[in-house]
Amino acid sequence: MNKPPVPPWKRLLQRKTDEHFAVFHSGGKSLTRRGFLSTATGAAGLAVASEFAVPRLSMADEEKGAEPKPIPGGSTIAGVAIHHNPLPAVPTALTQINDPSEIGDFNGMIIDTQIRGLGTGTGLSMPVSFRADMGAMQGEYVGEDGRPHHGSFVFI
Amino acid sequence: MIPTSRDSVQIDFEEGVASLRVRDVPVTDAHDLYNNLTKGQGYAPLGVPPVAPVPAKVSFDIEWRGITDSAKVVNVMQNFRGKFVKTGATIDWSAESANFAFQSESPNPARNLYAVIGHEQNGVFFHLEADDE
Repeated sequence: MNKPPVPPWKRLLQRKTDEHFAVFHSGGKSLTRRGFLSTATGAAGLAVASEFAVPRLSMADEEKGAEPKPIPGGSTIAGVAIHHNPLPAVPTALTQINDPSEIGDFNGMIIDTQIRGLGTGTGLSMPVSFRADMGAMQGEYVGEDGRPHHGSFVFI
Repeated sequence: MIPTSRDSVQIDFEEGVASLRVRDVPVTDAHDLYNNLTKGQGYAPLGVPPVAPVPAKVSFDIEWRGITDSAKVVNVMQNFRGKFVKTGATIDWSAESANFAFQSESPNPARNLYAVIGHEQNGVFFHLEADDE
């Protein structure tokens, strides 16, 4: 018996619906949760470096998300693991970039930049240079609690 | 990594335009990267002296604009995939603590080294598709 033809978009919709339920409504049983330990410290290359006090900004429109998991890779500076891949500072093919997200188990938008400049500060007689490695992530992620969340995060 | 409001991040992937605007984010000013990573203990191998972190606030206004390249990236080793556009970018930022204030120069597109906007999936969201090479 022949099945009625299914439009491609409908198959895609069904597949995406199945994936969504598998990820978000299975009680986390289908998730492969990485067990790596994190000394999650973001990269900070500015004169002002951010520690992770995790201040809450205006988050009235955000769900109370759990801590996101860091990406497994990154680098080590001064013996501290940094789960971050800076964008290249030299011309590099876009296809060669490392994962620019700091969040693991992430599906969403990422903006990232490697940028430099000059600035002036208290007590400085002339402009000083800076380099900033900054960006943001916005989307869905599986948090440290193993559950799905949505959120927006900035890395400084 | 700091949670922020949804409104502080604006992204139009198709147009290659995005912005990140945050105001008065409380941070600790650790003077330099090494003191930040070592929580003010300095880093003797490089002769970086200890500097106690102090409370500070920073504000940023970063804009991404002008697509110069686009690509699908599939990286099995790093377990991520996505569509990315390379763009120009500008930054305007300032910082203030009890005894120090900093203000960057006016936004200057020539200062950008590398900037991207992307829609990606990693970890449990990573998957291969039929047309992946």
